[in-house]
Amino acid sequence: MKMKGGDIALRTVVLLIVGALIALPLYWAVVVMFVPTRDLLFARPLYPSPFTLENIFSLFTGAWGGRLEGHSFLVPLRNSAVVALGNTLLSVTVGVLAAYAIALMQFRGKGALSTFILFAYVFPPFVIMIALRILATEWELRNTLHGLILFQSMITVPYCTWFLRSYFMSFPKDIEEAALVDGCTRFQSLVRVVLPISLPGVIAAATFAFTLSWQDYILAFIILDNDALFTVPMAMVSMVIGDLVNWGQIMAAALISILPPALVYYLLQRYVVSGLTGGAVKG
Amino acid sequence: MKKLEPYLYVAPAVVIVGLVLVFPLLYTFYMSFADKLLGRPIAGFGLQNYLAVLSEGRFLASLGRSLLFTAAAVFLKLVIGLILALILNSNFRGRNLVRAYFFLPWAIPWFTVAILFLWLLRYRGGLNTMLIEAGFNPVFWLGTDLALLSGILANTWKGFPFFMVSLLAGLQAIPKELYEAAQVDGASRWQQFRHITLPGLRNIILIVCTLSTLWTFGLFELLFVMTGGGPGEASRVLPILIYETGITRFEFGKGAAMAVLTLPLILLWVALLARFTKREA
Repeated sequence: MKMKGGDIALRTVVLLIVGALIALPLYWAVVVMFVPTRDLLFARPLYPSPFTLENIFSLFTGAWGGRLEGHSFLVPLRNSAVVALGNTLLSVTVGVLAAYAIALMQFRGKGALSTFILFAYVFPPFVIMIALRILATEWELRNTLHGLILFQSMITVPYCTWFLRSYFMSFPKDIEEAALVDGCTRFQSLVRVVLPISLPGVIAAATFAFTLSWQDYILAFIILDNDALFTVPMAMVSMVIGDLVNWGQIMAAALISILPPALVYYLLQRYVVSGLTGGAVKG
Repeated sequence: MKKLEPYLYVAPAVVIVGLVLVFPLLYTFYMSFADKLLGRPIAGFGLQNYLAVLSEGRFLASLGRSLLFTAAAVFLKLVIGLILALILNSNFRGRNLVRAYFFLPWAIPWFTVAILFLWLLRYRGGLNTMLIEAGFNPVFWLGTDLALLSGILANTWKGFPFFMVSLLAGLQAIPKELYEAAQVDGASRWQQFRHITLPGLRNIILIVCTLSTLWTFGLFELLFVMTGGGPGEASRVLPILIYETGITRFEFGKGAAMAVLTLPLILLWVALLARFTKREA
């Protein structure tokens, strides 16, 4: 569409306003991260002066208030990494198998299963949180990281299945048929033909699953109340709810917590749209 | 054997989702009818939890609050996302940079968004500091009157980029020839938007709105961290009420009954989503 001068001015104004609104909370996080805690108690500096890196260092030496006193922030970082990696491995393996069958095999109940997977993908966990809390206790999964890995798969397994289903559906049928004619079993065909060609999609599913697990708060909240096992979101929220809130450290933690998912989204930009809508909207 | 093979492939996924989603859902149904107190065996089964939940009025108020929160946030995200998608669909210098920057909030986890906005909006927080510097009075952003609205704005802040990129993908799929033909016929820009752009985006708008409705309605941690549901009842959306009823106060049956009463609404949205998704694929 052709643009007139007035349009360009209007466009610039809109972009500037929205751009500033995006920056506002992040700007404050950066300011607060670099200001000594005592200077935050009374004054509210608009920019980081006096400047300190103490908040970032103390986060890792464990000198912080609340329930995590004595633990370095490396502990929740490590817990989150263990859970997210374990969960990714589980959900991608399970998801690849299920998505392959749904996309490329014929069987009764396939349509119903597809709908069920979609239902599971968008199902809000709060509906079953009470049952999950009780079952976690009965199954002895409270305060275990493997319990959290299992519970988070209620989000990531349907997600990976749904994402890979639409990815495999566009897989050229004749390539697979050729493999089958040559005497491959279905499993060999999946491992040797379909997976190597679909590798970008599998990597995308894995990295999105990683971020979904990394971002999970509600399931961690149901399963964990042992400080030493806290994942990053649990650790951060426990810092806020404590008595003496050290905002500088929290903001340092907040900015660190953004890095893994932000990195993933930027690397996988072209998958984001189809990834989130399950292939319904092509990116 | 050949006939059974596909079922072997889907079995692990079905077993896992069955274990951590379907079984807990059935268990929620079961508990919603049970008369049970902490540390005691089940005393009987009946409708008493439902009667209690519906007669107290707190549940319906919270459900209404959740619906308001969801409707307002989804509407704002759609409007902002659409405007930005239209802007980004035109060619200008630095467009890719702008798009990458505007996408940033979506890459930030919910609990982090909650903490960023908690600092920004608390009484002695960032926004009030700026207001005071500019000569205005500070505002109780997280007070009774504004808490829910603050949550809606925080939700919009993180959520609009998803609308923006999805709608942009939709815009790029509309054939350019349609606009050229319309211009030849002398259609105004509004007419082009009304008769080409909107119909072309219709299905994508429906899909992203239903998806976002489900996500927004089910969001627990944003308001839980920002306000804890308060002050008073001001921002006690349904996930927070269910958490408090069933987990903090150990009223399992009542919490479960609330969850079951919410389920038809969620199933309706999922059914709509399935329909829209099928149409697109």
